[in-house]
Amino acid sequence: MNGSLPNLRILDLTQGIAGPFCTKLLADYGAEVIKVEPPGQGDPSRRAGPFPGGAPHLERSGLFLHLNTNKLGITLDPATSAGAALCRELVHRADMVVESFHPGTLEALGLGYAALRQLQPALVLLSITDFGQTGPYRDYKGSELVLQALGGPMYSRGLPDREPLKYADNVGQMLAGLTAAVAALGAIFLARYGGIGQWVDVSIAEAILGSVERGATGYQYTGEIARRLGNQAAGTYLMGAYQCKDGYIGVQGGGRGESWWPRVYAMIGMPELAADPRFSTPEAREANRGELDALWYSWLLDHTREEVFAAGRAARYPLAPVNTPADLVSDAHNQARGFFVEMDHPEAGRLLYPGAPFRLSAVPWLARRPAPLLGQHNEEVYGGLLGLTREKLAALRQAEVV
Amino acid sequence: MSGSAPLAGIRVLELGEGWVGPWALTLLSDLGAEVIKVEAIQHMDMTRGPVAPPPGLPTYPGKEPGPRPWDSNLSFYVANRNKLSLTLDLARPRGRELFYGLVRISDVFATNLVTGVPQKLGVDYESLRAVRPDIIVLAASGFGARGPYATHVAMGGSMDAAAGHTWLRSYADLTPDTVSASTHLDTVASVSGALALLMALYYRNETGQGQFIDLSGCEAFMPHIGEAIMDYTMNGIVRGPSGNRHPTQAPCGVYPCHGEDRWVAISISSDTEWERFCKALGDPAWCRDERFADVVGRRRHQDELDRLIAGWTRQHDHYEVMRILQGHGVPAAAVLDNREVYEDPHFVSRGFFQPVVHPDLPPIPLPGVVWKMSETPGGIHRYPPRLGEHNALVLKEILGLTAAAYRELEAEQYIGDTPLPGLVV
Repeated sequence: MNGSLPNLRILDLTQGIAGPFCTKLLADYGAEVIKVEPPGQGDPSRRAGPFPGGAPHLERSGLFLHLNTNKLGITLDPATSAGAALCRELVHRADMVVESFHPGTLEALGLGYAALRQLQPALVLLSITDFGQTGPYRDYKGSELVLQALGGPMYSRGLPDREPLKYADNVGQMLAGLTAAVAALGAIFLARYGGIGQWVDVSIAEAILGSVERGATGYQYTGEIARRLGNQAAGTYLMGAYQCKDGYIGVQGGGRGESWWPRVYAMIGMPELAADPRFSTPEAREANRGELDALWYSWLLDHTREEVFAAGRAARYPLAPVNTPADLVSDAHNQARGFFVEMDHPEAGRLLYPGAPFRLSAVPWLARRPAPLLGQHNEEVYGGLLGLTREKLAALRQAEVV
Repeated sequence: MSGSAPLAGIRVLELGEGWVGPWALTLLSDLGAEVIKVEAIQHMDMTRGPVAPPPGLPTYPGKEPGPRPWDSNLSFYVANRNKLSLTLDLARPRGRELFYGLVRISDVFATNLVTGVPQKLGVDYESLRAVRPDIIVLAASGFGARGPYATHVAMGGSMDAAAGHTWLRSYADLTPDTVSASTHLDTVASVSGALALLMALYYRNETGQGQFIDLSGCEAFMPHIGEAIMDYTMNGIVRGPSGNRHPTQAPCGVYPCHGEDRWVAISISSDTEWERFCKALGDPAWCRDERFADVVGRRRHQDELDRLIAGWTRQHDHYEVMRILQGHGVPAAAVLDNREVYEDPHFVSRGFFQPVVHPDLPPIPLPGVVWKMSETPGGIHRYPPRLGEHNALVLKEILGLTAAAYRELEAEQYIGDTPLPGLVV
């Protein structure tokens, strides 16, 4: 078997980040993903960086290269009638269509769910949009920052006297893409083994809100709004990032989990504190927080990231160094597990990519092919899959349909 | 859930705690799988909290722990809907044998206990495969099942640091130790676990083979910051934290609004959006400043631009700024607090939050299913289970134990619905 998802063909009409990440996850594990891009310019993420040497090039965008591994790439303009007809031919041969157009776009092209299910009753159509197919914000414009503001825990992240702070980079859209992949396979299950197709509506804002913001329910519990408290929120003491001798470490533990504290004291070389009345109960720790802080911070500043990490491992206490992207690549554990994989791309060259998000014992994650060049697999798909002649394909190219 | 739910007929055993294991299986239960959450009166999910908490903690409804605080803790409540709860002492042979009996009639076993613990309990993949050859086993942990850090204890906050998120998400002008803690890694690891399980179920259905899934929370996350990683592997550039700013968009930030601690997020990705933005503000003179004419200039003069924008946003309510700007096609959003999010007209209109009726607790709605399926919408059909609530259902009806055998298990404290005295979480 050629991966974990044999016999699964996906027509991928998505662009940007969330949709392509969803289909990447499936392609990397063996689904046949046919990525459809507009002729000429392609997916907008081709124009996003980083680029080698900072020089923009449609085939060298780091973001695009990362998000589109293992896919076949074709070009197609579904706004032309010939393009829409080709699209229907492809849908006919696919198990699932994934799209990320603005709500209503597919319908306007005659390719909405009602039309597509006529072609293929057990078809799964998965739509990934910023705010979903319904509701007052359906036509609003999203962005990573905007989606995290509405759906994320941003309001309660950061310092009390500063502005709320988002999570890094595009992690909201990435989480939504991941969530959409779960929904996709769920729907595929029912289509494949139950014969029932359906339309799946994934809103990026909801994907973030539904899985991230467990704190949202806190208001329902207490009637209190979660505020920004900075690094050391009351009741979650020893949680967050702290400075040590040569950098920073990240910790989660302590809190009110009483079984954690003896491990903290063992880790900092003072196991006797577990029986010390100043530090042996939550109330006592709170009352003597200044003293405890002094012990903790001075121990940290006496030790390097590596030393702190090693002490945490020995004491079975959850902490780790605050790693930069460079640290991730050089990290001994990541290297031992072979997390980063090398792939050769005809335009961007040989590069190291982030690898498998999880390891399946029966079939490996596969770096079968790098991201496609724009229209790279037109002949393979239009000729091989749809049986179009060379002449017909040339005519379509001439008419800028592909 | 109806018989046509995507995962109807799939039975899952969960030996999970915290967030990663439980939330992964909640997603499968949302798709219709029968998830049996296995705990013990000797050791329960840590999110059930202390057995005898002091009064006044915000993790209990109305800050009242009530007679069974382990059934109402916020952290447990938000992560465990739609499941059955079984208590079973796996540390004793009879408990383990019963567990193997359940494995024989289950499709999936999922755990996020630290690497090494499932082995000690005899519930590792090799042991379970001997019981059921096509079993699918998910072992989720902070660093994975092998490698130098494999047995290291991890939680969301420490994984956040190890996997590169803490570094990248700080305020750009401050050191990383000023940023709030985040458990985002827990979320990513759990949703990744759900995806891995679906892939393994699909593969088993197609080929008849089960398998072992090794999930490292750190590895699950690193592809989410692929852009920053690629900048390093491509160019040797180590990106620092960017706060709320964006490598190519400007302005991009969070601005103060009228009222106490109210904010709006605005991001502008093209000159067209900039034009619309200026129009929405009524074309003030500073919008025509040459320095802001293109994105290069707007990025170079971001600090000044931000001050000017704040001068406008301060005059308006955060929702009003969102409406004005979105009305002109500019990406903007009120930064919602955890009360507003429940009341927001969009989420309300989509029915995102769903009521939960719990026999012992006030009605506390939860964020609902995170996707909308046209044929099998699913929903919250079981409240987060009380400890051991489904012991009889699981052991007598599903596993077929006699009433006498069941009573004996109770008497010998293999099962129960109340944590044993002295249990420390």
